Amino acid sequence: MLEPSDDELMRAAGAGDRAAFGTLVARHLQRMAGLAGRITGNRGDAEEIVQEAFLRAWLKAATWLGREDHAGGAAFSTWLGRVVVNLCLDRKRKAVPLPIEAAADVADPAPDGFDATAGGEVAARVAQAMATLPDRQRAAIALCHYEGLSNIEAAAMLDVTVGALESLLVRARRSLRAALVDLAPEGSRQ
Amino acid sequence: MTSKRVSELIAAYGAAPEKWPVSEREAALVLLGRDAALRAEQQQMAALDTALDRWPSPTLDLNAVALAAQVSATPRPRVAARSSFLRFPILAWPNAAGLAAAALAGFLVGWSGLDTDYSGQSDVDRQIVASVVEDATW
Repeated sequence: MLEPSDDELMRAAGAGDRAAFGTLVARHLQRMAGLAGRITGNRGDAEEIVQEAFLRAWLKAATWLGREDHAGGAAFSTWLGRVVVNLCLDRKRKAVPLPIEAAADVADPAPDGFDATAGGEVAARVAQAMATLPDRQRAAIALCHYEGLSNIEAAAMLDVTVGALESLLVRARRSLRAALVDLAPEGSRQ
Repeated sequence: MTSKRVSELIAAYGAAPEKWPVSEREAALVLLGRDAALRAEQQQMAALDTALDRWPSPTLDLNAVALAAQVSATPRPRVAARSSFLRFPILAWPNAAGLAAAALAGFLVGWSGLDTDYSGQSDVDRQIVASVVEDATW
């Protein structure tokens, strides 16, 4: 049996079909979690962002105009990815230092390299190098390298041209190579 | 396709050709097969890709079923009829036409004086009007 498209599920969710919305969440949760996790580098922030993104999808469902409804409509996955990326970038932008007295009461928003220990020292080094990248460069690597999106999809999620995306990727890779140069085999170092 | 462009693809998308743009991949691979310098660049970038791949995908403490249930329990604000007009723009024209017709009718009624009712005017009113007109002619 043919699986319903994202647009069909969004329309059903817009009409109040909670099971259809459940299918959408199940379909996209892993990718959005990976994306938010890679960009924020912080489990608490990533979880909040993913929840917020799906809440926006639920609220949007009633007025959803997808690719099947409208010539200029967006693919749901691109729309949701853009919401996640924007929430991640906004969160990073709005992060302000708190007074020291409040430090014990809030979750640490700094990259905690979660899951990095599962991959050992190299993973921790990679997580740290990723955390030092400017936000948009980190997002570009998360979208293209880790999530395997096409350049067109990634550019749409970052709301930039493909040329600008490539520029972000080149600069990010240059910084990552410099930070991780000692991990490369002797013969492949520049 | 040029050697410079293949070099740019490696620098941006990494060593794995499957991550290069589909439209350029085939031509880039042909050039790569002929150019040892490009293959060296690819090898250097492969070392970075290998290191990046050692960072496992983050796992969040989110369950799809629970998340969907929690989110979809959120009431939606009332949706304006605007959405159906966006989907079917033809539905919007009766509204605009109705508004225009009402405006035109209002203008015509005002202009023609049909809204002025003199039937209830008393003799006193007529005298006041007549005296005002008389004063004005002096």
